[in-house]
Amino acid sequence: MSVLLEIKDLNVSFTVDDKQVHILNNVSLEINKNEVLAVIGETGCGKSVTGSAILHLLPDNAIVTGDILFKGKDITKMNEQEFRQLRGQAIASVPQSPSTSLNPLMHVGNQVAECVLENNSSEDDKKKTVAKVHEIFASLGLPRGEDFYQNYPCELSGGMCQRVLIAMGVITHPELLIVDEPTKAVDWALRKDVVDVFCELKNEMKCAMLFITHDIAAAKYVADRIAVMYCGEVVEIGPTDSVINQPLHPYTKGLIASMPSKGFKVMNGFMPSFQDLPKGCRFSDRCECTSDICINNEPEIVEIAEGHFAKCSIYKNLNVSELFKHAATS
Amino acid sequence: MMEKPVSVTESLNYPRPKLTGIPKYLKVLGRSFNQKNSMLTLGIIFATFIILVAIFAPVLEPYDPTKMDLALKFIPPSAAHIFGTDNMGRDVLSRIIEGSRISLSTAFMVVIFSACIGTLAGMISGFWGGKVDMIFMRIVDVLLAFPTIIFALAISTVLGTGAINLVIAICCIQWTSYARVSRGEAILLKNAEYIEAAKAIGNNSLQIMFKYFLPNIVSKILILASLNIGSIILYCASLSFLGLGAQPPSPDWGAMISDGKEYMRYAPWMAIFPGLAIAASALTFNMLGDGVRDLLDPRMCDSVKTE
Amino acid sequence: MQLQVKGLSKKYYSGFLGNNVTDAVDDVSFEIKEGEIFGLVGGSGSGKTTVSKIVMGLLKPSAGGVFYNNRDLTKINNRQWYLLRKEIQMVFQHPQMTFNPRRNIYFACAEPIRLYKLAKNKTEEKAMVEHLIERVGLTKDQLKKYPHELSGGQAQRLSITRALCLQPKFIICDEPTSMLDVSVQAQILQLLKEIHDEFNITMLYISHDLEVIQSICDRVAVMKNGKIVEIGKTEEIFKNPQHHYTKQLLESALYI
Repeated sequence: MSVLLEIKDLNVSFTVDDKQVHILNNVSLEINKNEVLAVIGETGCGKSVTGSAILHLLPDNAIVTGDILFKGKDITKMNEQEFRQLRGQAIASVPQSPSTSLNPLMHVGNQVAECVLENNSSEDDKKKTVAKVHEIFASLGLPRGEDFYQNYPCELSGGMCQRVLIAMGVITHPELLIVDEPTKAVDWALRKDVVDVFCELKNEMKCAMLFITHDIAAAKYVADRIAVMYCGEVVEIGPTDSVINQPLHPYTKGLIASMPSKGFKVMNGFMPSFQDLPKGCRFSDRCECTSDICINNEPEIVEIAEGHFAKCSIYKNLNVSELFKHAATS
Repeated sequence: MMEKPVSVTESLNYPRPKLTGIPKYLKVLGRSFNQKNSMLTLGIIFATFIILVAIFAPVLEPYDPTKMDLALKFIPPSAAHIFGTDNMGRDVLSRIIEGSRISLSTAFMVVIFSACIGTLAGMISGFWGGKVDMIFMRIVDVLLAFPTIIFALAISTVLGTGAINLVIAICCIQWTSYARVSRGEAILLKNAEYIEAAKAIGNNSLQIMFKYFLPNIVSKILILASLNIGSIILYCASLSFLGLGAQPPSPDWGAMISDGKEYMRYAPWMAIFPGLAIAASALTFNMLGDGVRDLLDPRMCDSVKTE
Repeated sequence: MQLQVKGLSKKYYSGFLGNNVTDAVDDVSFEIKEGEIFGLVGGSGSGKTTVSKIVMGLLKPSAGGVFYNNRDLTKINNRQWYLLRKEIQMVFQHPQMTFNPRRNIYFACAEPIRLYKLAKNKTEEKAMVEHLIERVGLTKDQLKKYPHELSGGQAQRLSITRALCLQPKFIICDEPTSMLDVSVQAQILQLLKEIHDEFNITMLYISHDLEVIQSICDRVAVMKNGKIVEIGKTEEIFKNPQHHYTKQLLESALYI
């Protein structure tokens, strides 16, 4: 499988009141072609910042270092002009809140068509685009035809707005779709629908996705691989099944155990603020198996099973056979 | 100044600066000097100057502002009388300094009274809604249909002339804008979850209004009031120009212009200097108002600047 | 029966002359026994929040009654409500928005104590607040902060503290965890369970999240379009749903 997007040692800090706050710490991720990578983590762990960094949408006070290679080209070094060629075409995004991301005074169809049309498009192009919009609406399970095309966002339900936003994202046939918290503002019954739409998208459109979410169950259904983020670091990354069924990092274990259906076992404490992080492992003050190494040294990310990495000191001194045994028993 | 979008950083649980209560205003004020909110800085400097002049008027006046000396009438601006003298031989500079007391006190009284009445009325009608709201808002609509000056003229004619009646007359109209603003805020607040939470822990209506609504409305009212002072100074001046304000011999800027207009041809300084005083103080308070608005309501400031 | 809701309806009138009637809540009846956690499930717009607000006395129903220890809550005056609020408390959905943004946390916690004059003097008040805040897992230095400086989980704990100040016998939780992350949600659910066991508090727990309802409620009612479509023991409903809407809800669960 060829690598579509490669993030290498991405560091992002923000300047706030003349102080630098380090948010992303050496984030490294890879997305292969036609692969869905879910980034899960709690509010404020930096998962959305990662998405914004790829899209060049960080505020001006952000300082980005590291490489983001899209098909081998470094997009952090591109200027706005060059990047605009990519954004919306090869890399598209689906924003977080369906209710506020649409223009309330424009037909939803036109809003989707606008993503493709240039100012000087000919009549012919316009007709083609409109036909294409109808097609995409139909493929997303929205009613086909003029009636739907001419709806205003306020006339649609939350789930439908979400689909319109997805249509806006996929109409240009992007190679990479960045989806930010699609299940956040929707309720129980709709959540399933949204997840289904993304599953279909993955199977039919064959585009790679970076699926940013806090919803572990949704990630499980959609993603091929899962990256778990905590305090601006990727603490665990691996194939969906093994991350969910055999989590390695204590944080992932805790996160999964705290699901209501798993008996909501409580993890100690809160996520620390970015301004007073623990010195060694960032999870050390909440971890059940903290030792001196955890408190003093930053752990390295270790491959424990095939394609399954964890950033935890427990695995540092185990040799390969022990590692695999550990993975199997946990 | 344009605030940088901070949504991303906000979502990351920064301890943001404590911006609450009075220390907030002081803190932001301090920052405003760094951030080139020049409108506010200038406004504060000039307003302080004008207010100090009004407070220390008796000390600053070179002559007695009411002492008539017909031998000294119509002296053009000179070293002895910087702004000249009027038709009664009174020093114009001294009268302007004395007049600042009258103009400012009327303006402040109008703003304070109308803000109090308006805020209370708006809060009550917004909070209770329904019939109370309808009655209050119809009254406001009726009052707003009158041009301020005409209505104030009518009231002054009924109540008679004099500084206090002038205040009452302008208040009658001015409270409506405060009522509108505070009603709008109250309606927004009424549906806020923390108001419901406050009810749920046992606050009664009165406590909700004074403990929750008032502190949240105050900043909006403050903006409106500081923007309003300038125009109130103008209203007061124009009404006293028409002879409805402070009565002679007390020196009122409007009345001084009115006196001076008859001698415009050979003693123009009699009308020009009070006119300049009115213009300068109105401008100062408008600047202050704009500055305060930018300070307390950055959103509004952005939209004005992008327009 | 600690709480009985009988034939509760709430109609909203809109349009010209108010001739468009929307039934937000339509003939809802249920009973909650003492010491029970009763769940109310439904999609958005099903009227579950309206029910909670009527029970809490924040809205007047169009018809029906709410009986708390056989007293009709919809017919009592403000003074009696003031006394009853000590017994019935509520935890809201948006934790950070439940507090006056201009007052600090200490004020938020001390407010019910002041309103009901539970403390004789300032020191006693302070001791009560500190005791409670430590009970729910916050620290004393957080008392000086303002609501926006707290994370969602901390604010929700605070909201629970404030409800507990008055030693209530009945707590309504209106989607207390829907805005929170799973790990924080687990902490809040654990805390609610603990206080339920410790003080024997009856709870009405409102949520759209079936997993949460399943894990903490004793009995559950499913609401759709203002009506209760199914009511019963949690286990039975989850094992053997009768109404097709309940089945549909259960089918849309994402299992991990």
